[in-house]
Amino acid sequence: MTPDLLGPALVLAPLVLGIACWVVPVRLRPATSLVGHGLLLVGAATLAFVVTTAGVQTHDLGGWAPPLGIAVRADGLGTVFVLLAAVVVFAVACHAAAVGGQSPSVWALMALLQAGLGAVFLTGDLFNAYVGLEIVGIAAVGLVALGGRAAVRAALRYLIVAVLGSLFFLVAVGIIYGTTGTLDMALAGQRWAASGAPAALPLSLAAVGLALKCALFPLHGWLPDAHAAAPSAASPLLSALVVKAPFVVLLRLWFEVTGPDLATGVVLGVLGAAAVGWGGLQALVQTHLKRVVAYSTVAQVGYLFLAFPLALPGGDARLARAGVAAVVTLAVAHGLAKAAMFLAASTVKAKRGTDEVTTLPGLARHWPPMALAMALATVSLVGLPISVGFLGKWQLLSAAGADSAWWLIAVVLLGSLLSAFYLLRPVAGALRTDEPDADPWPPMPWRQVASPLGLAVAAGVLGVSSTWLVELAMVGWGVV
Amino acid sequence: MLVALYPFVPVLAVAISAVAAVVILVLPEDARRVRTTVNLTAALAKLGLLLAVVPFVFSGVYPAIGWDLLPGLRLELRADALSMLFALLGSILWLATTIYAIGYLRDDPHQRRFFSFFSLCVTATVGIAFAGNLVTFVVFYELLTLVTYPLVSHAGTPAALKAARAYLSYALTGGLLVLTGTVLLQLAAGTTAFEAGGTDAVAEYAATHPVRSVAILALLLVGLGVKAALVPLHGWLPLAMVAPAPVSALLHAVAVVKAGAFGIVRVVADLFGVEVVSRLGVLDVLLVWACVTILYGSLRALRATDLKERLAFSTVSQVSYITLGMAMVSATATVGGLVHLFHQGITKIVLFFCAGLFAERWGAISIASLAGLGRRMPWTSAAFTIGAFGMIGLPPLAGFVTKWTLAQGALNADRPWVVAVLVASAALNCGYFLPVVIRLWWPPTDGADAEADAAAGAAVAEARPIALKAMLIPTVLVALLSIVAGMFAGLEFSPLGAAEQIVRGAGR
Repeated sequence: MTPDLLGPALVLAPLVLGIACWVVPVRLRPATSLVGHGLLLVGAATLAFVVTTAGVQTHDLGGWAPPLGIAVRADGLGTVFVLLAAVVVFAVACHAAAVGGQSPSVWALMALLQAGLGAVFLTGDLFNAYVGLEIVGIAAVGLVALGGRAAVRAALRYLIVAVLGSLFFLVAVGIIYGTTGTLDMALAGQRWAASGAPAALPLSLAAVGLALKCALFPLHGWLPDAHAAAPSAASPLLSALVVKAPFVVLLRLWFEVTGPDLATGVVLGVLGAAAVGWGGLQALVQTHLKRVVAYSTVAQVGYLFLAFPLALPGGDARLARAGVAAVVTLAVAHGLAKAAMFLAASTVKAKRGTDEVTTLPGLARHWPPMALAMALATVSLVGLPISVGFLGKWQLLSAAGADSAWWLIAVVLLGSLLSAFYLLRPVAGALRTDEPDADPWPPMPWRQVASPLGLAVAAGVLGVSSTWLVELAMVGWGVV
Repeated sequence: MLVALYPFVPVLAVAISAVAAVVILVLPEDARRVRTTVNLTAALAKLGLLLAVVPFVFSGVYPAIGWDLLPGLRLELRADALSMLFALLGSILWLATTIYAIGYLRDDPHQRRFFSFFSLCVTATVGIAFAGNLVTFVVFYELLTLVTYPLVSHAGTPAALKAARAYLSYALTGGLLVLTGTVLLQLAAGTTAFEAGGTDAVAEYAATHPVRSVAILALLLVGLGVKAALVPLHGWLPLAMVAPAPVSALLHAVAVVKAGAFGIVRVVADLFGVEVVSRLGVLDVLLVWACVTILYGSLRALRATDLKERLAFSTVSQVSYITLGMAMVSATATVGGLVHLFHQGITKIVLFFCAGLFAERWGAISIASLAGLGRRMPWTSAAFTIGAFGMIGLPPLAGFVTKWTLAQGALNADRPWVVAVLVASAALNCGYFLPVVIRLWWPPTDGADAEADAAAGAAVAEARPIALKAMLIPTVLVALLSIVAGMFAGLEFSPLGAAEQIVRGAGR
């Protein structure tokens, strides 16, 4: 197998895995899923190694080069996210198997989700990105709906949002196709630049659609319900991975296809800042842990959109690059730490029947490793050392400082303080020993803590050095 | 072989207590004997390692090791002479406080958590000591904030939680200011390396961009001022005294407050350079700020009726002597500031140890209730007296050496009014320490009260078992150390000698 086939393999193999998880008997599904996702993790790690050492890997499906054929393109950015997805999905699958009691459909949906994510992250084609986003959307809605009767409403709302978002994106793709006559991103980018058409129209349409899917403030209304109602195997995937897919597509449009646009960039930046503030304030007043964590996602998604005001037309390309590197690091940090936090929160809720913040005292005494996982995840989410979240925040502050964008620095600082306080409430609560009631603390076997703790530790260890991550993310990353 | 390992000394010193923390966390709560062994072994190993490399470091060979956190951003651990002074202080006091805490927490149900975070606290402190640049300093400085939170909130009472939350609010906000200043300085100057006397790139930047430099310096100093408890950023410190006595001791003597003061030393002396800060016009602001804090802290201490509260405000005042030393263009003043880093640590920790002993043994929390304890607790009272005299600055104790050197520095730097501040402060020190000492040894002749207090004290002593000897021995030993440090200040390897070498080595 030549290395360029790794990309297509990482898109197609999860589909095969999904089918396998659907046809094998229910009792064999967890094992099938674990083996499959384990192999996918190895594959993603190999791809990361190959891309780091040998550069971008492009494979033209069926041997037809664009514009006739479709390119599967594994650049640094896509590879980082594929690796993140493989790690998180594997950890979540392990956790689902360890906890047990899952819906029989969850395994197939997880694999389907990974296939969709792979298609979005590893593509050089606009239509493929659209199809990938649809697969991600379907799998995600399915995962939310597994949450039972309570989740059906949230799932339905999520479905409408996902379809609406895709619609906006599709119109944008149509406009680009109409002007350039191609769906290949690289080619469309060249022709778009040559045509001299303004980026504003397709970019703003796509931004609306994708922001809806990302739950960017003020289009975030659907997220807290969906993420909090979803079953324990789903919410970490939704928060850590699903909201990142549309964001990566928007990054690609912005930098590789239409080029930047001043008004869109400013609006996205302002909304990102507002999300950091509003999501943080909402998280502060939530009474249930899962909802605190869900609103924290609204806030953290806001940080990602701060990359756009750093990459406005006529700006310094090095600066734009620094901004992208910063938000990619933050996205990875959020992916690992948020998955850990959601797994912990879901487990607490499943074990004790409630995730009310006031019932947390005693957690550290009864389940110390779980408390440790929550504490480490918090450190990374707030962006304190030693964690990859700190390194992401450092880069964002540094890029903002280099741009003299003082308002961005203020947003990052205030956002950090807010996150410290909304996460401190549950974590400090868990450290307390004055237990409010005699609710039982059922035993917590190690295998049920392994995934959240592993992910949280990974976020910490990556904070010792993220050089390789940033260098990988920037492989083949052309900046307009 | 040994030479090849030399660069790893700073990492090893940081790692020893980190490993101890993990081991303690994994051990079960009731494994007391093993935990004690791990604690003491780690504390002794760290102290031994540092003592072993002192001669090499003071001969000018600095072990250093580092790696890239991000492309172009280095984490660097480096042991220069100043690092060693601070790291040694930390290690000596860690050992003493560990022994004290083992006694203090004999039957506490959360010892695993306590000692684990206690070790992490020392890890962060030693990391701060060995930080070779401001980036590394910030990493450990923020880590210190995090790991001290569970220590301050250890008791779990509403008051403890409130204090811990206040502490975290102050420290995180300050930390973010320092972080921002660091990011901007790294961008502007391309480096944040600590070099004795200041970094050239930073000096150049300060010469070409004075306004921006002042802004960056202000961010850094205000951020550091929070932990260093400079007025009006000191609000968290008196609240934090609800922490267990060993935590207060460590917080006030070496960990948190000192980390802020040490940061000011590094930023002023080793990053910008005292002359550059002076040229920017910030040095005199810092000098006035330090003087105001010194007087304000003493005045508040005078009014406090609770022993720990009085000690807390005394810390506010005393730690600012370090800043004061940095804030004058005079080698002698710098020496005074640096030596106080060490002297204040060993003196203050004795006082807090004693406060813990009085409180646990006799339930004596208010100053009034200390009456006559000199007879019942002679060793503790003697140690307290030594500490108090040291703080006032009576010769030949450590505090006298500091104040004498600082006063000389003030005259050299042509700031004679600072001498007046020092004298006023010494008078105030007498005002709030002497009554305590007098009350200990010569109680007001009202026998009935003393009897009642004694009965109450006995009740407390029964309610909360402590291991008295484990608490008393480190208290007395550190008190003796503060006498020795003062009496033999003329020797090369005394704290004063070390501080002089640090400054001389820098060519300042």
